[in-house]
Amino acid sequence: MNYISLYRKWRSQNFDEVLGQEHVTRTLKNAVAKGRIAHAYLFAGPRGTGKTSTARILAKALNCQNGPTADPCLKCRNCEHIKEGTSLDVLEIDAASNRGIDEIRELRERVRFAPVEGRYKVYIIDEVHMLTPEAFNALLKTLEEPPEHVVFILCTTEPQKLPPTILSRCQRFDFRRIPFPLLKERFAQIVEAEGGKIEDGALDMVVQAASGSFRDGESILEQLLAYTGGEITANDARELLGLTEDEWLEKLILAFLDGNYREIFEVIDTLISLGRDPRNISRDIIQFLRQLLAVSVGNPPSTWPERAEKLRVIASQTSTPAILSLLEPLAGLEWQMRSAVEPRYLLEMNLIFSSYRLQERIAGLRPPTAQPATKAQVVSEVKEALKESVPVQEGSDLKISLEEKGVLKETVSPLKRPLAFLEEINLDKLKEYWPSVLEKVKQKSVPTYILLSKGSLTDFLDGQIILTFDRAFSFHKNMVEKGENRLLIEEAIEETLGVKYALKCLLGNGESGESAEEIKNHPLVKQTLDLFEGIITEIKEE
Amino acid sequence: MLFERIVGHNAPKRMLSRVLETGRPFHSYLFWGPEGVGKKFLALHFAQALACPNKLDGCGCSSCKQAEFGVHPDLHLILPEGESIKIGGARTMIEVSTLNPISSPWVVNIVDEADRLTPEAANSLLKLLEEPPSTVVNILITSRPHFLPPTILSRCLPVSFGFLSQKEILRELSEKKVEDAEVISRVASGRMGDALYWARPENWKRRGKYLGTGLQLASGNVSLSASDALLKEKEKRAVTDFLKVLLSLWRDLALLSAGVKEIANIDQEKNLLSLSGERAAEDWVKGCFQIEEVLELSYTTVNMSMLIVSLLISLGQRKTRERSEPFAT
Repeated sequence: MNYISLYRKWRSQNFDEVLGQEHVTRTLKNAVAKGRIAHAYLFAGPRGTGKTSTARILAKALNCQNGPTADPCLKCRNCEHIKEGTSLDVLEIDAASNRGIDEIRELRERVRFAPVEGRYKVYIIDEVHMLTPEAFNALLKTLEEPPEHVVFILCTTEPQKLPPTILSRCQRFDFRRIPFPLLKERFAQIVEAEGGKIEDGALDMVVQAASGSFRDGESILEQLLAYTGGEITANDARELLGLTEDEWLEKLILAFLDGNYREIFEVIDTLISLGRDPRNISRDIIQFLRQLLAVSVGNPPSTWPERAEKLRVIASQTSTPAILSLLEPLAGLEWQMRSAVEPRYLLEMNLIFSSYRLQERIAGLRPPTAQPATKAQVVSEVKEALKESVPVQEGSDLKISLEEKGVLKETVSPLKRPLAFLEEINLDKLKEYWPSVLEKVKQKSVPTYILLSKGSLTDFLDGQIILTFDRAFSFHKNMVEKGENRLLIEEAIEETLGVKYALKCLLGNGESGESAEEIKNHPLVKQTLDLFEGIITEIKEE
Repeated sequence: MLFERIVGHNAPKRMLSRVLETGRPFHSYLFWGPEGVGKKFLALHFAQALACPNKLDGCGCSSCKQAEFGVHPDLHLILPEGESIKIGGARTMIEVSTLNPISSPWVVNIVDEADRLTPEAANSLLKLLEEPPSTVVNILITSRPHFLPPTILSRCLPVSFGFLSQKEILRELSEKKVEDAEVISRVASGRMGDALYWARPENWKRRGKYLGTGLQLASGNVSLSASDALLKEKEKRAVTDFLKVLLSLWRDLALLSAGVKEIANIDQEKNLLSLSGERAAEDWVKGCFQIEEVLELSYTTVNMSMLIVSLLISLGQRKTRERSEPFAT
């Protein structure tokens, strides 16, 4: 019955065992070795990164019978007592449950007494951010100038909640999340030492779930060990953590990209019937998509090998913008699901809709060069559409009126895997799409279209579409650049390409303008020169 | 057999049975998952089995009986007083944990609706959750884990609960000889609590009424007298029930118009099929989000009459799809 949980059993016992916090431990070791002990330390950092452990180690380093030493012996009476939590000189105070001014007053009373067995009286105040403002203020004087034999160590996960007067009296150390490889290595050691075995994939899942916190990971490991009796497989880990299987995620993402709503629904339905929580599912989907995004922009995935392979395969079939446009509507999903009354419905609707939007974007991207539909098809479609508004005469001039409305240029050909069109956009691609941008602008406003049509697409630089206008059309250029027209055009570009690009207009380049000779010979120039008896020193562009 | 009386939740059940076998429970658990699926029920049974000398839940021994009547000296259930669990409740929990168990090997603390712990109470539990005396097992239960501070979450072993499958609910309902079991099992959306609620004839009748209003609304007829009648109803849950019916209706319509046939309100399949084509899928989905939002608010102390009226008006309108706006709620 005297079973001790893993994370207590495997608490670091000396500075070198503290994982991933070299910047802290090295400083502390040197401080102890050189005898430069501050009287108040503040350890801040996320949960499970070693704050309390380091505080206890520092207490041992200071009070070890063979010390003060950077490497406490762990064998002497003082070290033992500190480890067991029975030392009279090391007082660990839980500020969260003793948060009032009275507790701090009591502490101040006792600070004056000399240590009993060791050199220092060490006060470890854990969760210090929970002290009341009065309690903090009561502590100030003592914290600033404590008796020589006293060291305070304040630990907290939320340093921003401490008053600045406290912060300025402490030497502050910030603990970081522990990097994945370090956690993985340590967890592997622990499992081995506990007489168990763990599959590499399972280890990766545990590390991922721990997200940089030693304690989180060890809790999971502990339960896995109890659950499996020692041999931990990836399946066990997945079941315990409530993770969604990669196969399902893969299926879901593919259905997602293809706009297969029925499949999306079915996968969710199956997962829910398996007893998975919708919030877990959404977390896993978003994580998977995020990793997919990382792979598609060329980063190696930090995940188990089977998944990495899957990610590579999917990434090769799709493109970064497509993944982005799936992720975008889902960004708020996890947050939305927190307080949702019907998280399942919310999940379904969001997924189906996010996929729907992607399809919509792709549909807007169909290239104008694709196979046109048969005339009969289009005619019947348009007739249908025009029925309400414009009375169309059968036969006669229908074709012309259709062409005028720009309908015949539309295409109806479905694309096999339309994502290919979400590739990165370059000048050639842009030129291909430019006619449909013009068409869009024309639909929105004919005057703007006329202005724009005088410019020609010359370059695509740093996300800017560069249009060049002939010198004769400088008026058009100026108009295109003006507020409303510009907005309208940029909107049309976004609607057509699915991405927002800025527009930049240039006046025809140097050579295409009038040459210096032409200007010199211009009658107006000549007349001016004659009138003022001047000479031409410089020809400036407008 | 352990946990015989609990429907579904195979993964948590299996895990907890293993724990009982090895006799090595973790010191702090977090049972989390949707509301009304039986988290507390399982927690109580787990506690019962921990205390039982035969390691069973409900074997009939005196310990099990004590647990069933809620008078076991080593099992402590901490519930919200009013809106929250305050530091007083947390301190009592810390106190009882320092004592040795009286008649069983363990002291078990069950905190229901742990997301209602005040920040002070939550923080004062940190030490107990991290390093309790070796005889203590804490079980925190919540349907909204994100409302707990990360420092609490990191100290507990999460046990995640999901929804029950429609089949599991259907089986249970058929055993109880409930009429319309098939429809109810679908409408309950994975919650045993909801299924049993709808299974009561008077509630099921009300659902019929709400359904009528909902269908009218979907076809574009806004009737504000319906909202008046709704707010005048004596039943406390009337508004929430109405919104839930409405949500399941809109979700079905959205699914149908996206080409998915597996809907919840199968008794209305024909009506829904003909209605679904009247608006774009986008419209139905947006409606779902609006209803969900109002549904969330209905659990708070907002004045519902304005909200309901504006929701009805907005849902009754068919939106034109001139330009697609960014899709967000």
